[in-house]
Amino acid sequence: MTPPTLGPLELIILLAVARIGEGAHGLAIRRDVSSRTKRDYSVGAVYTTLQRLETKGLVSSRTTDPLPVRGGRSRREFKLTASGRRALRQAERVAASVWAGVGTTMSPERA
Amino acid sequence: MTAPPRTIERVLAGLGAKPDFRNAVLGDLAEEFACRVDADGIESATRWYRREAVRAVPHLLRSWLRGARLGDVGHIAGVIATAYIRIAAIAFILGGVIVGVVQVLGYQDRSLPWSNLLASSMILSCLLLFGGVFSTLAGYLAARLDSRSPLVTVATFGTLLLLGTVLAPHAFSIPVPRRFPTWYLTAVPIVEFFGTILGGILRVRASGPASVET
Repeated sequence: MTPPTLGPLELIILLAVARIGEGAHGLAIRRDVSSRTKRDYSVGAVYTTLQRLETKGLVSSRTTDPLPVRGGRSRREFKLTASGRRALRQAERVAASVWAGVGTTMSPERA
Repeated sequence: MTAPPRTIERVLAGLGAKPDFRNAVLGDLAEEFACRVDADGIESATRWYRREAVRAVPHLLRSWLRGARLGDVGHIAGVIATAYIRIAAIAFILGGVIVGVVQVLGYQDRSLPWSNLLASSMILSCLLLFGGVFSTLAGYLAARLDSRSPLVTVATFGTLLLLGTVLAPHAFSIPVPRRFPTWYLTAVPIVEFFGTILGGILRVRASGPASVET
């Protein structure tokens, strides 16, 4: 089965979920994504994307017990599903394919 | 641990997003706020919270919209109609009493000092204040009647009032009294809109904690 198409932010967030692994929650994902992309993504944007990824079946989530630091609210922890892993492998293959041969053209010596 | 600004948190909770999405967003904001208070101090953390709250609004509204059903539109319409009828009835009665008192004092509408700029401005300002108070009451009542998405209902209500006030005279050829200057005619829909929103925020602020676990 062909993995669903990923938008740029979906791919970045899916990679963050994969990188963080166990206990990847919204705040950790946002910090990871913001530090790597040097862009300040809003909390809402991250959760909207995570929800979309969950709808596509690429991540699954579970809620923790309520935490005082969150005003008595639970955390939602995300993890990759098998489809999510396939989608990442597919995205990596596509990226490698479209970047193939560009390296030498982009080098400073040729510029 | 320092809690985030209560009013802003409750306003965000009042936008009617799905409970899991709302709690995830508000929980992250609260957690990050607490970290920032420890690291940068309360003022800087509050500024950050305000900015992030504004950025969260479209996502919370989208979550509400995605979860909205046709029945919700009927529910909002019912709440708005109920609030409008109740407040309009009170305003009508109170307005009648005020007009009666003015007439007992020997003034008729035509005998009021409309040609005196200062006096007419004061009368119109009182009318605006009257409208503002009743819009605020209407917004408060509408938010009280709708526990699901109070601020969406109130924003819809305010928008309908604004559009109704602006468009009704043109749509139904209602003559606008010539004694009403442009500033007053411009101010009325604005006061009605923001009065309604203010009423909704006051209600949401006074309601229970925003940390709803469902």
